[in-house]
Amino acid sequence: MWKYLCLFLGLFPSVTQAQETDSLFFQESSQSGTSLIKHYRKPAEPFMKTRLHLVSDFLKKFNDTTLTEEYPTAETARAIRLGELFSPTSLSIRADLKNSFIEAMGLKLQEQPQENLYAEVLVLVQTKGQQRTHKLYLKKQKMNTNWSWQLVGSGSVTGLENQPGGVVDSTQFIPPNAHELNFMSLPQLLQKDLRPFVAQQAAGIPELQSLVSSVYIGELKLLQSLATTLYLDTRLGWYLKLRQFSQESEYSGWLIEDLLNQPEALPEPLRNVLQLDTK
Amino acid sequence: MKTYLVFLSGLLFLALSAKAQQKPVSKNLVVKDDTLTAEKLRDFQTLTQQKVTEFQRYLSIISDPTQSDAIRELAIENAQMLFLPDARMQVGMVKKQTLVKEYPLAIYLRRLKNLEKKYFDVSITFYDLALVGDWEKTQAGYVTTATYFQHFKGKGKDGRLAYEDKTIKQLDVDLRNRKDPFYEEHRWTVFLGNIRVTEVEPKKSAL
Repeated sequence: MWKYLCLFLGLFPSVTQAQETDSLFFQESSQSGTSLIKHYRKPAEPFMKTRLHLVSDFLKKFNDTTLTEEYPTAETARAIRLGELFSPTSLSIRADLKNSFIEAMGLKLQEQPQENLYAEVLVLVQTKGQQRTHKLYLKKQKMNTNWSWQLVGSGSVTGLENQPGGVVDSTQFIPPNAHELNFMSLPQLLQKDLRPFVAQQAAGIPELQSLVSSVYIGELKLLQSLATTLYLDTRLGWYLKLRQFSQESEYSGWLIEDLLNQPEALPEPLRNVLQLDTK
Repeated sequence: MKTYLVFLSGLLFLALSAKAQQKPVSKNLVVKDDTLTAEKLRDFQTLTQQKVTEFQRYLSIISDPTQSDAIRELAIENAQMLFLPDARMQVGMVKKQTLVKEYPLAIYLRRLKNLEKKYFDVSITFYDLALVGDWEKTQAGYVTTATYFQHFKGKGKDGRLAYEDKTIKQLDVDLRNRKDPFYEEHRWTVFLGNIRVTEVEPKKSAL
């Protein structure tokens, strides 16, 4: 009774404070008398602060038009920021291609970058007692007012007949920021029935139907996600291939690995989806 | 008695007003139980930072062979309470090429405790930088990602450094209105989820 009265009167701590896990250790050693904690903290190193940790950091920088003392004109500031978004391995991209990309982007910005984001996820699968890698393709889509990832394509599932797999309109979803975590939870989500996660526009794609059927009848099991590559459609005729780069230098995190200026250069399943999207 | 009743009614009124203000209300005055105000979301971002810091403290204790076994066991138990039940931890190893393995969190924590069998002294140092991203709305609530950096050192019996690396870790964070077993009502709670690892410059042989 007292508990409910306290709750009602708001005498209990606020929601955020109340949810802390009870801890024997979450106190300063000076208060506890004997130090139980050997907990050291170091100041952050410069590369940690400049790292593009999340894809949203990449998009913020991609769309940033802030002027600085060093770069007082909008064109210079924008060109330098775009140049900083290339990965160390992007040296293989022809310089003229890179320059024409920077020129083409100029002061043009993406309006809804989240809508144009595609993922290629390399997953470890088990089929007929053997393990091999397989590629899944996902698109970030808006469902009602919320965001989620949905399956839009698959690599070919050899040795299995295509079986029709009906699409279920469901409230199940793959969290929108799952790509920041390399889609770790994807195999756990896609254990038995992939149909709730298939995008409406991709329901008729044979490779995806094959995958849905083979997972449903237990012939193929997703074990672990291994790597993620993102494709960003700038809607200005350029496609950016993004990957996460880890290095102790100024620019690391989500960076441009490759520049594609025609849809033919995209992986086939994504080309199909883009065609369906533009119909 | 009258004064007491007036005082109680006043308190009741204040509590009701406070409660009414806490819930986000749409334009047509319908209370939305699946959304939180910007202020509350900021509070939960702070709470997430606290939980990441708490998790880091547990990791330091679990890996520290000078702590008593009971304390380290309790740290394993408490660390798991911060996470969703099926949370997994990725561990990176660099031999000829980078190899990433994935363990259920409980198994990872136990492996961390058992590192004392491999190294005479283990220390995990964290940096003053735990970043929590902006919340993204989902059907079930909100999700975000937290990032932290750690510096691992394992020393041999001779006191020499046997293994060292700096690692970036990213955690899934899940905020939703769940049924709280203690209060027997739905409350907004934050749980940490899967952890992904990115190896940065390993200095010596892998774990």
